[in-house]
Amino acid sequence: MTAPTTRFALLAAAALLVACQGDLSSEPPVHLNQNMDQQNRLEPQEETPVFENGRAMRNHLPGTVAVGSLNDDPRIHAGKDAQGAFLQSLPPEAPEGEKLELDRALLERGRERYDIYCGPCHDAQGGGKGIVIERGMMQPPSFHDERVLAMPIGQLYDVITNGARNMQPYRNSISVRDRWAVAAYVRALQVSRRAPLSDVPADRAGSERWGAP
Amino acid sequence: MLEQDLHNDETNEPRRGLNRRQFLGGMGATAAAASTGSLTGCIRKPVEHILPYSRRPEDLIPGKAMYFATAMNIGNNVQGLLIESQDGRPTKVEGNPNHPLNRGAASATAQVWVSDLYDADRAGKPLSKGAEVEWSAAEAMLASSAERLGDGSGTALLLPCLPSPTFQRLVAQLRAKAPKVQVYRHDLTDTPNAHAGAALVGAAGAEVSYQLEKASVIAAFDSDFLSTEGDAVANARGYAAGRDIDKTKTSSRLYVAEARHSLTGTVADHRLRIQSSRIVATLQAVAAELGKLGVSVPGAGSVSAPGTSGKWVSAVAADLAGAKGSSAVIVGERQPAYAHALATAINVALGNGGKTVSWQKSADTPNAGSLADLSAAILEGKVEQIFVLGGNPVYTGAADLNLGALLERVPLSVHLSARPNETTAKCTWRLPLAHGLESWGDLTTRTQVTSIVQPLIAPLHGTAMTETELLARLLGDKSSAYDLVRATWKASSEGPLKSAKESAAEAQKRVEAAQKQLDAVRATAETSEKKSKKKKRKRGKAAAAAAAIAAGVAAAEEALAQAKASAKAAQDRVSSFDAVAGAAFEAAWRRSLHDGVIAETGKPSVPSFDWKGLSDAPAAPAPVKDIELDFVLDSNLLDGRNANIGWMQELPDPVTKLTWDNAAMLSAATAEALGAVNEDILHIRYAGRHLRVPALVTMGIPDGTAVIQLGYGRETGRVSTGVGANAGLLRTSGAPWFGDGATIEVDRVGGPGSLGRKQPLAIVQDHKTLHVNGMRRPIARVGDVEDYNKQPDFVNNDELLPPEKIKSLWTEPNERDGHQWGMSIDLNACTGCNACAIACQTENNVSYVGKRDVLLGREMHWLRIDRYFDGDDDEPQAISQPVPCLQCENAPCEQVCPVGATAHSPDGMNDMAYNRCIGTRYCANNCPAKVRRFNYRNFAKQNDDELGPLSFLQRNPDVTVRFRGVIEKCTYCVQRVNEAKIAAKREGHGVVPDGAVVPACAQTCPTQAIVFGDVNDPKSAVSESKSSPRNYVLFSDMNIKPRTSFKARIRNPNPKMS
Repeated sequence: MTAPTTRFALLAAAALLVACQGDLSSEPPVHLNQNMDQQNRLEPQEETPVFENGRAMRNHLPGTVAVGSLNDDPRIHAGKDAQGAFLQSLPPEAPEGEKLELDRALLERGRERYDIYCGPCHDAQGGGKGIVIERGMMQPPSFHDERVLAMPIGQLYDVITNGARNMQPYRNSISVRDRWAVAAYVRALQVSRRAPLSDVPADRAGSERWGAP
Repeated sequence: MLEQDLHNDETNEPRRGLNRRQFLGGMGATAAAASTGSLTGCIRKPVEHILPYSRRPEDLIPGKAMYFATAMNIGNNVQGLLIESQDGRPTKVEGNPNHPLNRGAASATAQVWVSDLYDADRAGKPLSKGAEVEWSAAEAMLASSAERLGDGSGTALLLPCLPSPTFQRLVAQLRAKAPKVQVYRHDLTDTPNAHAGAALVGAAGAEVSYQLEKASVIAAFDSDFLSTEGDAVANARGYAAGRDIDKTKTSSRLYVAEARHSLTGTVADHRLRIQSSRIVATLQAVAAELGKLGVSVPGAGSVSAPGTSGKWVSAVAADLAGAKGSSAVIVGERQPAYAHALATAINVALGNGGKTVSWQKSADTPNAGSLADLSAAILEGKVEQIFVLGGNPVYTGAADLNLGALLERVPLSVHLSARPNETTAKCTWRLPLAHGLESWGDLTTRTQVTSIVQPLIAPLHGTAMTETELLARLLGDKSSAYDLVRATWKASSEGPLKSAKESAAEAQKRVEAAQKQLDAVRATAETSEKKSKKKKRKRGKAAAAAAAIAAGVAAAEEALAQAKASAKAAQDRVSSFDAVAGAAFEAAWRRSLHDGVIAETGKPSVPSFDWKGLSDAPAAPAPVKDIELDFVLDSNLLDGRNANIGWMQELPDPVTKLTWDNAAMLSAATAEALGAVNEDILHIRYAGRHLRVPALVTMGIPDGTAVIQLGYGRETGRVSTGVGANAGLLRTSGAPWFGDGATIEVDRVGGPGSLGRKQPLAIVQDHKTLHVNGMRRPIARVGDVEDYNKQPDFVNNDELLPPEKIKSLWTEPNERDGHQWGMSIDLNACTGCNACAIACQTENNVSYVGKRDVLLGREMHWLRIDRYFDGDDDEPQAISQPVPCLQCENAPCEQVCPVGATAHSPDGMNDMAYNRCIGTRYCANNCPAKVRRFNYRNFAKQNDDELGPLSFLQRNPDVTVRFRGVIEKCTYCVQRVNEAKIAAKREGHGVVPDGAVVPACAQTCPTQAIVFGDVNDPKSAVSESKSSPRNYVLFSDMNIKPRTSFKARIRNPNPKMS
């Protein structure tokens, strides 16, 4: 090939590249070197022609048990004791293990998860006036109703796990430990609303954070 | 001149249409065409859609792997497995750590199970006379077969070796319902000779297993117990435990007598090269020799030592006699029943029973006929309908039975098969067999450990049937495999409930009896009243009689009330039992699915033997006149079941390192006598049939013998078709494994059926040799127990440069803070079983490249296993050495990369940035261990083109699929390292605990030869392993400081043999 031809080819290629910039198009963007950007493997939520519905993620078959998913302790996984009554206190962490420790770390974790998953409807104080309600969704009951106050903590866990009325189940979104943390945090919200001033530590009682006495 | 330009001699590149100039010219033209806009269509980003779960399963986080426990079987070898599931797709097979045989390890065959699942050849609907039909038609056929079953005459079942309690329950039920049904069993991985041997000594139905960790002397006679026979994974672990010399200061000794050079033979301390037909005589000689040493072997009185008692025999006998209760004599399945019986006698005489050798009740079908029996029955016209459950008997059966032609005579032949194969072609029906990863089942090991098989994914190709479901259909039961398995286990857990039900039924009967009694009493009362009215007796008498009757009625009423009360109590007990038993069963069932193991259902025992059967000793074999042909299961393909899996075809044979072919393996002397050299086509005539197969001179094969692997020369399968030659075409039912009388000539003339003059064999051992310019480097180091005891760190004697002479050219930049990963490979534990090589390929999306590219040295194995022979050419000693990337601290590859594509990570790993790589291959040239692989052809796409879109499903989403033109290599499974680091970071401390990172190769190693961890932590397992005096690194004189180190192999030769 002669030199001028090569030069022309290079110019043409350069013109092509420039022409790709700034165009309005409904086509996907031009992507010259695609090496390994799209891989011959299936990533989460990808598509495949193998299955009729095109979904690469498949369901586990009913009746199968994954390692670590035995979930055979009703106290931990259903919030109920052997007789089927809701637990009044936190369950042990593992079937044979220690009790789930009710400490600041657990409540902080519960607050974090609560603010993510529950706050939009139930609001940060648990009054049931979250941002979603302002946009017209049905209002959930307040955690400070007598009915909810009387619920054992196991029932709070059960509602988070399985949902109730309009509320969807959160068993897939929140892990077991985190669900207990959220339940404990909800209980803490309830207690805090009805706590007398005498419960506030003496050295903090007068501080601005708690307001004037 | 032009000719020379077109043909690049240096790379053996096949001649193509373009030379470099033409190629550049073409590129220019393409660019010119692009200017017209035609190229833009193919360089846009593809449109991708997001398809989330509409209802996400609990505990599943997209992109995070989950694991399920299950099991698979290769004949009687059941392996408990853990399957990695990525978003509901099984992607990798590992051993189940809870399983007492596997303990986390899995064999190569078990690991490619997932590749078998995604084999597109499994697709398809039922076939009737070659045409696809709907399942309803197949079900109708099965229903009418069940109707015609009657007492079973005319119906035959050809079963695979399937030690499944549910399957065996259904076979027994079918036999009870139709006593005349003919049951045959055929499977080349089955052990009919061992079973017959057990029957010969009065222990019919006993299955033998070995506890080799307790054995100090092991003598194997034609037995590949570390690779293709028995519970190889457990055997290998036991064998390695017996040789852990750093810990125990002692080592077991392994003697092997065999014709084929097996994997077990490569690790033997003393291997006897002997023809298969002389194994029995050798065993007899050992028994006779033991008698002289005061160990009286039952039945050995009649043994006339046939004069083979050489040095090997007396050494074995002396060692065995000196290790009573801690030795094991193992006979391979290829040897006749008598050899198995005699080995049993020797083991019992040595007091090994219950210690190193144990027997359990076989979980497999009893009293089944052989394939020869089936052919006879078909010839006699006794078979009107036959059900072939799985397998491929037309291919694996002996050629003289001509089963294919016989099957065509049977009016109804149904083949339940994973994929259409040679047998399917001869049957009137094909029903798709469900894969073990998509169906329910149960399997019991020969040590009586049962696992439930649970499905990982719904059947990929629509409806498929399990063996159990087909048997149930014949029993008129349309239950699913799930219900069938649960029924088996529910029945076994229902003892107390059953007795409660019985007592309730009895109580109910008592109630009925009391009711009858009461009715009878009332009836008499009424009649007597009537009578008294009629006869008008005296009032006093009448009143007395009436009172008596009333009392009787009252008593009967009371009895009835009592009976009712007790019946109610019994019924209450039943219902409470039902609730409790039901709940207990459910809990136990879920627990067994979770753990992958049901508690052991049987205990090992030493059965009472009867040695009379041994009195009929076979005569000494006649000397081999012509050439003895040996048929062996291929180490990778077995009987051909793995033939359609590219990874297995490309996995090098552990001894010959041959890929994509089988060959007639000859000793150098035999080859010379025949005038054959490697790759010559041999024309073998044997028993009236003939075969052409390439020659391969192999060390350690006895003279006058040709060994050929089975499993090749398939007629079906997108990968397997036409690979190698079908040695099964020479097999006879009389001598299924070896026989004299073969004549071999080198096929030089060509002619009809000729393969040409030569067939290139793709052998990978000589690729990328580590020995440069004839200089032999101390790569695989080995010593004797004596060397080790004298000087434990004898490995250092081999160093080419003393440490003080090793100088660095520059200041070494490597940081030594935090985690620093390293690996230790113990050559003393390594058997060369290839499990790690396959684990690496499945974990890291390593492609297979095909024979053409292997011939060019382009195989992609990130972890290869080198095999070195030393010693005598005919009776060599072998050593296997797995070589992954050495992850050098002063990595030579990093210094020469012009684009910085390979660089050191802070935790001491030699990382590849694939997107930076421009394919100069400088790094591969500069790598002393030759572990870097260049992707010449976009091999991943090449695989996809062959296998279809299903191959995407298997790939590990955590590992990049490499494109053409980049270098790739072992990463120490960096994806697993990072996962552990992220987990540690999430926990807040950021410290990865020892054992939290296990690369795929170390995870699956049956002998735990590979240890990985943080070398900065002096207490880690890898630091401990590297502190062994046997520890050494490759190329220490180059000062590359590899992180992967090796530990020398220690042989334990018998001093009397030298």
